[in-house]
Amino acid sequence: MQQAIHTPQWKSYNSILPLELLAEILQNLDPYSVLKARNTSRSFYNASNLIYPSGSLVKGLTIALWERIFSYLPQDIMEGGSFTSRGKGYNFKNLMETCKGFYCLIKHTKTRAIQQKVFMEPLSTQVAQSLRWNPAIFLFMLKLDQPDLNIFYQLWVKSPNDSFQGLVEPSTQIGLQYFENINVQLDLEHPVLRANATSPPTYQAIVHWAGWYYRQTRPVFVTSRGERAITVRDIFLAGVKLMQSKLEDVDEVMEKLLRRKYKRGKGPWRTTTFESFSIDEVLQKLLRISIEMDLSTNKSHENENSKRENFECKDTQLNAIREKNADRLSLFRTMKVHNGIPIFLLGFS
Amino acid sequence: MSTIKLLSSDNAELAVDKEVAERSILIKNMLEDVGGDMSDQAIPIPNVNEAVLRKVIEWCEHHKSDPPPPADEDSDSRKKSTDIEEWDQKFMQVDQEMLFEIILAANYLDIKPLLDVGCKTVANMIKGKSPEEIRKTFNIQNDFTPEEEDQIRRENEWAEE
Repeated sequence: MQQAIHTPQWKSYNSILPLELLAEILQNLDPYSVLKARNTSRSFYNASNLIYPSGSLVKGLTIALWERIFSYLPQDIMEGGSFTSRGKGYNFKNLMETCKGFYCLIKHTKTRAIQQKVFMEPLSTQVAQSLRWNPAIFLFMLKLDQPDLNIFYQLWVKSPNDSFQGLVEPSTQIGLQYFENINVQLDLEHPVLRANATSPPTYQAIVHWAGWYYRQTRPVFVTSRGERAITVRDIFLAGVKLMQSKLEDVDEVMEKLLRRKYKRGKGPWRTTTFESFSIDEVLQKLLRISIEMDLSTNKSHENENSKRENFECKDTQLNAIREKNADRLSLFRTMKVHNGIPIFLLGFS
Repeated sequence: MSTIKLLSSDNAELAVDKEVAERSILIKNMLEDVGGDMSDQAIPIPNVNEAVLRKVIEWCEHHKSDPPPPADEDSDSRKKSTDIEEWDQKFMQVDQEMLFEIILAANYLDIKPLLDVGCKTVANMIKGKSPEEIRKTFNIQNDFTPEEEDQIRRENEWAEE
């Protein structure tokens, strides 16, 4: 009797359920969960064998064999750091959309090779502890991807509600996406590999929201100190900074202009680093975008003469802005040191 | 060179060089356990039928001189590639059912290099295919509900930009 109290409830129930009924119940679960749990009891095993003979997940192959097959697939990001045509390079993403079995296998796998490829490799204890210095707003880690190709990383972001991923591109720009909830808790169970340093070393990175409409913040420029490459913690801090900073008026204007001119994630912020622009160039660029926007939306600007007038007008405006913001522009590349990590802020201060 | 006999699941007896058969760790261990002398008795391979066993033996014969695979093969998954030798590519040009049978046989007989070739072949069949194409290739039924499909799409939205 005493023993019965300690027996898990499920065992006592499933031993009295007819096999067919148990199989009927199991049919409502995804195949991966059923096959993973098939050794719970003999009746569970027999019932699962009715639905999935020989423990086969798909096409007669077991979970272990499919995991082995998947471990040979390349990561979802393609050579040269650019995505191929829509959907073509997303092996794991496409597999997850194929059927429940593959979806659950990839999502819940304990196979290290797959975890690495889908950016779900658990943190080592050492790395996890090193992140405890701050009850972080969120956690995201750098993941090394295809070291023999370009400098190419992927961010993995986790919140209690949902999982997020962002990209770090070969141009060392980082885009974080779907990052709406700033009150997410540190999740040490999930990400990711090589949390301590970027390898091959990356010395600069811009952190910004790839989906601009989610949050209006200015990008954060992360740079290394001396010969040391930037670390994940640098990126982490940049991300915190990104969350904390609020756009000022000028930034909002920039934001709006860029957002209207370019499709999200496709503008100059994505394809170039700001360091390559002088302040004047940035202003010129923004004003020209503004002009183009005006021209495309305002029918009165359709003829060439008015275009020219408009440019002249904007050039005057540019000078005015430059004069007005002379002191603020000097702060354009202000460096802030946060816990020993240098963070550069871009934009007007 | 000594010869041993293998008995397939459909009771076909196949004679094979011991050296070739020992590409299978299962058979190798079995022979070691019985002291190496199985010349008069066939070794039963109950999970593999004759056609598949013949294919497996063909592969083992071609690869009998290969060095043994490294023990820690999973140390770095990024080094894994789907490159397959030309002979193996031709060898794997079989119908899908046979391909899966070979994988299962390689797994059962514990022939890691053959298992790898099989897995790589299937991985190559998956590579670059859309979910619908994968379903079509492997005759998989889409068992997602529309709600679940939506959820997965939302989860993967980040990659769609």
